[in-house]
Amino acid sequence: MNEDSDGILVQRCREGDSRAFAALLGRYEKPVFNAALRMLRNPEDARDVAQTVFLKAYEHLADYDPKYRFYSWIYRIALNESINVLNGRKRLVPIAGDEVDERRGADDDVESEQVSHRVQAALMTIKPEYRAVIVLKHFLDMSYEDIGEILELPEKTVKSRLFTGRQLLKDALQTSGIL
Amino acid sequence: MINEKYLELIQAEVDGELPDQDRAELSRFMLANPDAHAVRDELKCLCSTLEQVRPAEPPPELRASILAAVRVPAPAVGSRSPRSFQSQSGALRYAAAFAGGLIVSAIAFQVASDRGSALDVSDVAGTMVSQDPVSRSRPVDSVHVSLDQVSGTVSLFRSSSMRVVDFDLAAREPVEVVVVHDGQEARFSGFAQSGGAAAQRYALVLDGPGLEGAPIEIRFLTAGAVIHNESLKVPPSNRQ
Repeated sequence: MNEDSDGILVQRCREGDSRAFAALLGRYEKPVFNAALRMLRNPEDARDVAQTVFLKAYEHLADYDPKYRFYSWIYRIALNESINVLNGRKRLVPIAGDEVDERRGADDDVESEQVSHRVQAALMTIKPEYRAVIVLKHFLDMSYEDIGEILELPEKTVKSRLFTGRQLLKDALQTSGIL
Repeated sequence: MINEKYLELIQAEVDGELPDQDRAELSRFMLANPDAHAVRDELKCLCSTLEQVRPAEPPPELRASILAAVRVPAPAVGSRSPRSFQSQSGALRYAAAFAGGLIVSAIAFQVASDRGSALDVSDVAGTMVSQDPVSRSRPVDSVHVSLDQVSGTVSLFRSSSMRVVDFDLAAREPVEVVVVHDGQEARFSGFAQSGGAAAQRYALVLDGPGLEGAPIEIRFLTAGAVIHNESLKVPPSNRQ
């Protein structure tokens, strides 16, 4: 249902209907922002990535191949942009205050906020290729098949990376005392 | 040591992606290998922990900034453009590009007139389908106005390079608002009428580097005369 309506919206976008783009933005703004946030930790970087993702998507809508699911395409852009930011960080000094700001979320509960904070910290200890599959699986609720399409990987590799990534994440969470 | 094949099946089961044809085989394996239960339990525990991480809300101005960039391409820094604009008819009330590089672009939108609610810039131009009110977003500065002619709140939201000024005002008579920032000026009017039919609510987007420091001056005018002044300040960011 969603995929079909995505396709219709994309078609309308291509025909110049700005409302259709706004509808796609409304649908995917939050998952794209969250994917970037979990990849990068820093909410301001995540915001910039989300903005870049939608502007690139808009600019390259003509290149979008409708045989793929729209969300696969836009999440792929989001992860690639996030990885670009991560690569850029390697050349920079760490930024002060580079932490997830959960205040805007539904995390009024202090315990949940602490869990979020520690999970995010643990995520940052694992390599981006493992982090990406975990983000897609756990925070965007993607299937193995979806993840394979988004990352352009065979399903076998997706499962393998997910397993390894989870082991590394579990170790990190055990170290931080959350598991 | 558990065979890789069965680790994969255990993982698939936890993820709800175990093919039916593998289910019986995994059951037999689990019965014969009690150690495998610990692996499955650990994986379930990890998944349960990750489920506690709730999605974060995107910054309130993100949607507006994207729509603004799509509809009104940002001009090159340093391009010349008018320094003052009157509001126009139509959904896009104001679009301006300022010279000098401090403000790359500034755009004010007509948004839904829903006085008293938090800023939801997804209302910009009334085009959004799925809207997430940003009631939890916190302004970095705000002022309350309570005059005979106009009352309400003006709030400043921010992200890394962008500021959104939300004008949640109701007027009892025609009131014009002039926003001045770093020598640049924007004007608009037509706010919601107190006790009357809905009119406009505005969000002014300031985009570009160097927004910190200079205050955002707000002047309220009736019949061309200034009746009130306010100022919003952009606190320094934590980032370098």
